[in-house]
Amino acid sequence: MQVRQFSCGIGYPPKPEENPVRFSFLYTKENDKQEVLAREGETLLEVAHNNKIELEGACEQSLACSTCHVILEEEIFENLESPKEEEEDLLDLAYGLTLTSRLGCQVKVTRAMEGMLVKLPSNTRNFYVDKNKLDLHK
Amino acid sequence: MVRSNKEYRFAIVGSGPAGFYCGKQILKNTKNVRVDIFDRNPHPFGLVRTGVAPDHPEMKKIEKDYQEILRDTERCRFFGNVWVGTNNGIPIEKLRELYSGVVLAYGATSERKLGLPNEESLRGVFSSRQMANWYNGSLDDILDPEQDLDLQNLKDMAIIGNGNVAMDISRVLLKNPKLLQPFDAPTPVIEQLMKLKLKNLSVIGRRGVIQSAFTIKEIREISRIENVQLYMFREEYDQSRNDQSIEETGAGFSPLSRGWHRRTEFLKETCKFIDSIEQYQDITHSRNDTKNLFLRYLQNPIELLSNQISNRINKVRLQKMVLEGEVGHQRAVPDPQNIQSEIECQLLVKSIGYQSRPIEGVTFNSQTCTIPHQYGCILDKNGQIQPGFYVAGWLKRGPNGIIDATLRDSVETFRIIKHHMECDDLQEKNTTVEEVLKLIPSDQKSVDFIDWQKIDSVEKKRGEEHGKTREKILVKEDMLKIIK
Ligand SMILES: Cc1cc2nc3c(=O)[nH]c(=O)nc-3n(C[C@H](O)[C@H](O)[C@H](O)COP(=O)(O)OP(=O)(O)OC[C@H]3O[C@@H](n4cnc5c(N)ncnc54)[C@H](O)[C@@H]3O)c2cc1C
Ligand code: FES
Repeated sequence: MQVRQFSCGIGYPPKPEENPVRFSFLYTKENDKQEVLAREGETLLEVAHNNKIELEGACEQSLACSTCHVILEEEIFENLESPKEEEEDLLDLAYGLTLTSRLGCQVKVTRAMEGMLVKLPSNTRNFYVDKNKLDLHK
Repeated sequence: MVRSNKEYRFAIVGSGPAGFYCGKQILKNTKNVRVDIFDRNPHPFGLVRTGVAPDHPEMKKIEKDYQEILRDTERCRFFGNVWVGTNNGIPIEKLRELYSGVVLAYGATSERKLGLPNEESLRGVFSSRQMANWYNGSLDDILDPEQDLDLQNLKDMAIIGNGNVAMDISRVLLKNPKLLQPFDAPTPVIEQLMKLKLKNLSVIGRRGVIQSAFTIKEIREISRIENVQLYMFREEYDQSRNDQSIEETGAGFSPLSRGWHRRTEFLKETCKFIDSIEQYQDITHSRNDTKNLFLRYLQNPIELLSNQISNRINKVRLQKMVLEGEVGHQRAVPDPQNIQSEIECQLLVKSIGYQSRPIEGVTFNSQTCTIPHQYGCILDKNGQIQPGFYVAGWLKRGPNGIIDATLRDSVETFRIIKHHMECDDLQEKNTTVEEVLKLIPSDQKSVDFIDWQKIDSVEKKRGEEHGKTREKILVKEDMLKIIK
């Protein structure tokens, strides 16, 4: 049996005939870009899970955990409705908070998102004792 | 995916968030690797079960995700009720011999002390860990609620420390207990809370308002509880706002500044200010049904006073502090004028931090109470990394941070594990259940995933009968009886 990896969303991306919205996620640490297919109205977290993008959603979209933090492009961010107070509260704690950060479970896909790039914050913080002793990127 | 097809076996010590996120990363990103998860408790999930408050069911949803990992029984085995490294449990060297890699994620099972002479001996003085354990039905050091808490006579209470745990405890005690009923707070706990007559709760911080340790989410939730009024002392608020502190909330100082700023603004708008001792007396003695939450700042407990006959705490003496030092590194030091005050409390909770314990055969930093590591790989006593030996979660970073922080640091630990797999730094193993069981002392009965499912379904069924999500079993032996 396989580990069920993705808990939100219907489990698969839309078919081409469903006229999907296409955009990409970027794993910032690895600089690895992956294209996804999305349905209008799905949350970014659901899109991530349908497309097997590594974005946690620990509280299953109930606005309690901030593990679904994503970074949007300025233009996209500006055109969204402002986040609710509860979302702002959670963003205050999010890792690598930026001026265009949102919670992936609160942002819904629109046609205007065609071609956008959604950044996944780098997972690592500075826990290191001495960066020079070990080089992970060799 | 990890670029390696080797057969590795991992042991993970601790089934809290750190253990599960490490396990999840390993299982998701490899093909021929298996994982065994050990926990001293017969139940999995660590602080998600015994820390996260019962009125935060959204947060407990995470257990479903963790359960999915255990369900993959071909690749993941659970060994509950098994101690590792301590308490007569499996010695760490034995695990390291048996497995390609060992990840320590055993969290923090102890707590920091105030360092006051009678904090251990006075009645009515507890740690936040004991309190949270109590209302979460933990199998550890059970409080005797009648004797120890004496909730029906509790009118004034103090919590030392103002982190999220202090806020959880405040919320659980200030809220109408009927609101806890639908979730998993044990029925005996709800019965006790029904007797509570709490009027005044003081939450005491050493540093200023801007350095409050709770998050805005937690304080906002408390401000919404019916019949609760929040207060701050004007003088403490004003003195908190020195130039350095104001700079800390400015944009560009730290990614967290935005949160500190929003929280301070929220407090200013939500709290009523107290300007004089007379006003304070009036509020604490008023006969209305409002419950008062006093957010105190720049105060340090220096003496616990007691009733001589009952040996129970009745007051805490506080010393006024001032902030000193540079922006971002301010400390609280006693005010040179040595200003002291006393507040009444029949219960005092020390919420100044959980603490990890060392285990035999592993280096330990006794200052920070964490295991020294690099990127999550444990260092030996000469400061050298030890491929095959890792640490994650509270034991790695120290006992603070929400689950999101624990997730991100577990991903970091996984990255170094992946690196060692790809560099062929680990030994291939094919550890069998029999080999593991041989290590477990004969008087200890280990609990596997099927056993846990039995316990889980009994708890859920008992809960259903009372209209709750779960009725927790509070005694370990009773839990073990279910699986016999
Ligand atoms: C009271 C409280 C409330 C919290 N509420 C929230 C919240 O609402 N939201 C949020 O995001 N975060 C919350 N947190 C923080 C969150 O719980 C932690 O970030 C997280 O649990 C840390 O994970 P961990 O795996 O390192 O430790 P733990 O969760 O403590 O897991 C450690 C595990 O190791 C086991 N263990 C210990 N010693 C041994 C041994 N010798 N051998 C075998 N097993 C052992 C323990 O039984 C335990 O299961 C809360 C914390 C506390 C204390
Ligand atoms: S999934 Fe928890 S806040 Fe978005």
